Amino acid sequence: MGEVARHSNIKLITYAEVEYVKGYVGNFEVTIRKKAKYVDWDRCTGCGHCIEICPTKVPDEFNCGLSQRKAIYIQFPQAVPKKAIIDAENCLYFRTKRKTGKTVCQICYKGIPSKGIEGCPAKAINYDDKDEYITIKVGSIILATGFKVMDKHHFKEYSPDCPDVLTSMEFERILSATGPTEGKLKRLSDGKKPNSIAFISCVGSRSQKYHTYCSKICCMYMLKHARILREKYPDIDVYLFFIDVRTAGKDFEEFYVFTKQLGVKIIRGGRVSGVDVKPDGKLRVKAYDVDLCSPVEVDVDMVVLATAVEPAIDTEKLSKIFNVSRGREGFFKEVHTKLYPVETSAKGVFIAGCAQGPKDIPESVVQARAASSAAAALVIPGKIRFEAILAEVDKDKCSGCGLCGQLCPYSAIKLESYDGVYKAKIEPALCSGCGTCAAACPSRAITFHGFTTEQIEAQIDALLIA
Amino acid sequence: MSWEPKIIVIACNWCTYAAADLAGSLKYSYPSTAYIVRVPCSGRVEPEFIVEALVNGADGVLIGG
Repeated sequence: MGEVARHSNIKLITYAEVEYVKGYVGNFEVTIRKKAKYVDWDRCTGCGHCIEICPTKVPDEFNCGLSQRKAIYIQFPQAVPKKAIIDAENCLYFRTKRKTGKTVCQICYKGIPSKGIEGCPAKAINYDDKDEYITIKVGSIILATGFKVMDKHHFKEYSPDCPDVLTSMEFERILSATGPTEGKLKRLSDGKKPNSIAFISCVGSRSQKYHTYCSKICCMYMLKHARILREKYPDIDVYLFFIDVRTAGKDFEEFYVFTKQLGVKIIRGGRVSGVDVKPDGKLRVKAYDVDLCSPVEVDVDMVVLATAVEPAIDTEKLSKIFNVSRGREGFFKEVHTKLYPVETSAKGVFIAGCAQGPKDIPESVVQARAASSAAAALVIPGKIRFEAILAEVDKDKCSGCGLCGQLCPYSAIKLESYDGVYKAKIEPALCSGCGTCAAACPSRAITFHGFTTEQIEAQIDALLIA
Repeated sequence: MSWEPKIIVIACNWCTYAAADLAGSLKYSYPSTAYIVRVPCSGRVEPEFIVEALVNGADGVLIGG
């Protein structure tokens, strides 16, 4: 990420959202809203002084709400660029100003003079910052908006309200040195180190009730967690509950065999039926073991749910902005699974990573490189090849009624002024050759090359003579 | 031999025509009196095509898209 930020040909725009996109392949005009940060990033050095002195605490999204962050914060320690922002929703200054109009706090700016604490040493705080809109011109676009983890509260049978029942993302944060427990493994209920941990796979995946697809990454990261635990804490019993183990991928099966040899207990055979909280705080996991051919019950101190990979929250909104279609499960849809895996229904818009479907890091990297090559290959020649099957307007016949423009599913038709008279104009780069305009035109002013009215009628006549 | 209706099938290139093609690959059979006309999209179908077919002796028109 740091390398990307430093690259002379890459412009990184963070804390921003795409508002709308105009134009077409090779000539996109993208309007981006850079959200108000209330910190001048040219001045901010990322020293973290403001974060230390800020009095307002809110749940930290990056740690899945398991710890607290301040109202002025840097999202996570490795953030690029490492600059602070003020969360105006929760900041005391902004909250009070919205309610009463008074200005209070401003500790990040002024410091606490009575205690001799100074405010921002770089004088970067700017409470008057506003959203900024910028428009950039680009030739092609890659959507790589990632995924989100399914909420555990859908699964009442697994006691999601118990603090010791975690999603794998929460568990990952707990293992992290910058996480809520600073890397110490402990139960969130009583702060004790767990003696046994159960991992449950396919929570929401491969299910007729939630998501029919396999989330693909869970088996491997469950094994990764198990391996980390066995190597770091050999005294902890680790139970992995699988429907079946899916370790397709280079060196993945070897990783599985190695993890098994570390003494991890693997229980295969159908979905875990439930997790109950016992009065002593232990969690009872109920499942079926296909090797024993019998139901099993295991009491553990902590349960980790491998909840499904889901499309990121704004995927639907983005699909409308970029005119990219989505599949049944809500991920962006490629044109062809095998032949056009990074192209989308919108010409010049490409996809990579989990925005297209669940996948692991190696696969995401492969797809990202494919998408960037495809995006560059499209733009570099400076010319674009069209399909020959296109619609064309005969300007002399066109009455300028605009019916075709309303019907065109690709928004390829606009009315253009020719000496003050409006006529339809088809942008060949956007026309996908459906022919709807030609069929609808009341003046028969649109010729659809390859499938003209005369050609189709001649076909019908010829077939019926026989 | 019993009477079989002449049907003009106006088929969208991306679904119905592809399905008819697949039916062929799978060696399914359909009546020889169904005649397929391929169009790039069912949006291309003009009402005149249907009239043209019926006037010229078709017993029915099937538009698939």
